[in-house]
Amino acid sequence: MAESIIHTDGLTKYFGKNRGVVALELDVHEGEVFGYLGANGAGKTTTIRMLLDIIRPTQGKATVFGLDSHKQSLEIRRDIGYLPGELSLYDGMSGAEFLRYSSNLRGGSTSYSGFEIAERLSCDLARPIRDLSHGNKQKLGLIQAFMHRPRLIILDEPSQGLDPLVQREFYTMVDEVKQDGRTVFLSSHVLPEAERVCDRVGFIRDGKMVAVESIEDMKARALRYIEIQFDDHVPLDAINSIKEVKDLSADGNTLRFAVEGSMDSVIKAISQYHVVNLVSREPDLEELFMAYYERGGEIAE
Amino acid sequence: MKEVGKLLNNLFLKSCRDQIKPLLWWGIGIASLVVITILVYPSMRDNSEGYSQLIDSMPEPLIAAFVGEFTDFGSPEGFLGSQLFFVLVPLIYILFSIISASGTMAGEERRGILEMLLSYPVDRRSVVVHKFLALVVAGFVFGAFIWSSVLLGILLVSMEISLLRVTETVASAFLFGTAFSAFTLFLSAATGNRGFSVGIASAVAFASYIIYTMGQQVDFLEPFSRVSLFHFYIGSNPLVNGLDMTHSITLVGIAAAFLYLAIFAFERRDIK
Repeated sequence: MAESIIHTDGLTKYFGKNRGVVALELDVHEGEVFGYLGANGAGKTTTIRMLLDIIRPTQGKATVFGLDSHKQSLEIRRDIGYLPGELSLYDGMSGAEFLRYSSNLRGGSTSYSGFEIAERLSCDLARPIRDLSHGNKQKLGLIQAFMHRPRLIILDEPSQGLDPLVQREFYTMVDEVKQDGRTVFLSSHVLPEAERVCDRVGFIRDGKMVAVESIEDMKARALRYIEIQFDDHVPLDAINSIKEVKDLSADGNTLRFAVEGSMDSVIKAISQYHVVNLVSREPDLEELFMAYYERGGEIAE
Repeated sequence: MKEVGKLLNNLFLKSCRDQIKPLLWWGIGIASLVVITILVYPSMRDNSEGYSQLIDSMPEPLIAAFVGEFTDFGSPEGFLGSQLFFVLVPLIYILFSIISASGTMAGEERRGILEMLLSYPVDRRSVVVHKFLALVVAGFVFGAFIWSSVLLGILLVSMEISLLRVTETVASAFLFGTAFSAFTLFLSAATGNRGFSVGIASAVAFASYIIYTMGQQVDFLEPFSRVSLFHFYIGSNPLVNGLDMTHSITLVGIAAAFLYLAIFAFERRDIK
């Protein structure tokens, strides 16, 4: 496998008595898009802020590009693009001024490619930042993270406030970075986004890494919640005998169950009956966590 | 547009630019106060006997607290010293320094801008140093507002006073303000808490003022008054005697020490 771009070793952070993250082991490989998933307050932002040396670990250490996240932070930050979860920009500047300033802080003239990205995201650079909507500010945040073509892009909840069209363009940008052999580390609390762009995902819960899994494996075991309403005959036994079906419950003419993996057997089984309605829903993160817990999960070492 | 782009090319110039707007308002405010105060001079000069009697009838500590050693309101030095440079100028200089310094560090941290800045290849030491230098420039421009408004006032009321001494006194006030900027910058850099920084810096300013004025009245406080920042600002009466080098160097030294402490503290803590 490719070289580790981010590596953490027992990384722990406490804020006084409050838990940040606990003994975190994380490996992100060069050239992959890694999704860092967890509910709000799970410790995603804390991890990211330690990688950038904005806060320091209570215990353990982190390396980025093989460099110590604290001692060699300046070197690391030369080749990183970062979008904070709670983005704050200088209100008085225009978007264009901000991009020039960002570019100058990196000691180069990367603002040109910034303007290109702004065009792709249709971001208005002329207006003062204080007059921009949340979505437009978020675009500026994305532009400054991408424009210098860094080796590693760290994005904390990147698609907040973006409209669907811009979101799609953003996903394309992430794909391009990956094709370049560069790395993206993004945190999210929405699974579909991670599924769309990530190669692997790590789940963090209460400051601890619960599981790390490739999206392919996850999809193969995809969990779906199904609700079927039948006309009269409810094929309870037929459904119950399918090995992919879990947590079956009946309520009048309606069956509710979870399917792990392929839907094929379920579709074939119900095809002989009169189906009035069928609803399929993907699990949210919390349910996915529960599924991992029940299975014993693939707990990270 | 291009010129603006150039202006933004580093942290120092960006920090300076952030100071421009507030500086303008502060400058206009202090300049108006100064000119209005000096316009009172002719009436005070013409009634100096009456004022002297009034002063004589007041308890000494009160005099010390509000006008310092300057009791001869009729003379230009006595007037400017007591009415302008003893309370008004240092007070507003302190306020300006505390508000600017806490805003540029703790204020930006609270707004989350510092986090963004520190994700760039910028080390924390340069953040503090650039911001401090911008504060020094802002303090200097603020002093220039004071200096030119004093000059305007002097011309308006045809006051006869050494321009050099006025310049030296404003320079002393500038160094005094710079020391407070550095102190507040240190508090903000160490804690990231703007309210705390403003509170502590103001309390120290107030204590420093009280100790200085009381020290002139109460014997056992006298040694303490010599370590008050006010003493280094105006203790040698620069309006009459010119700038005292030892005092000026002490103020610069205090500023440098707090700048160093600010860097030291800022490099060692978590950003909120």
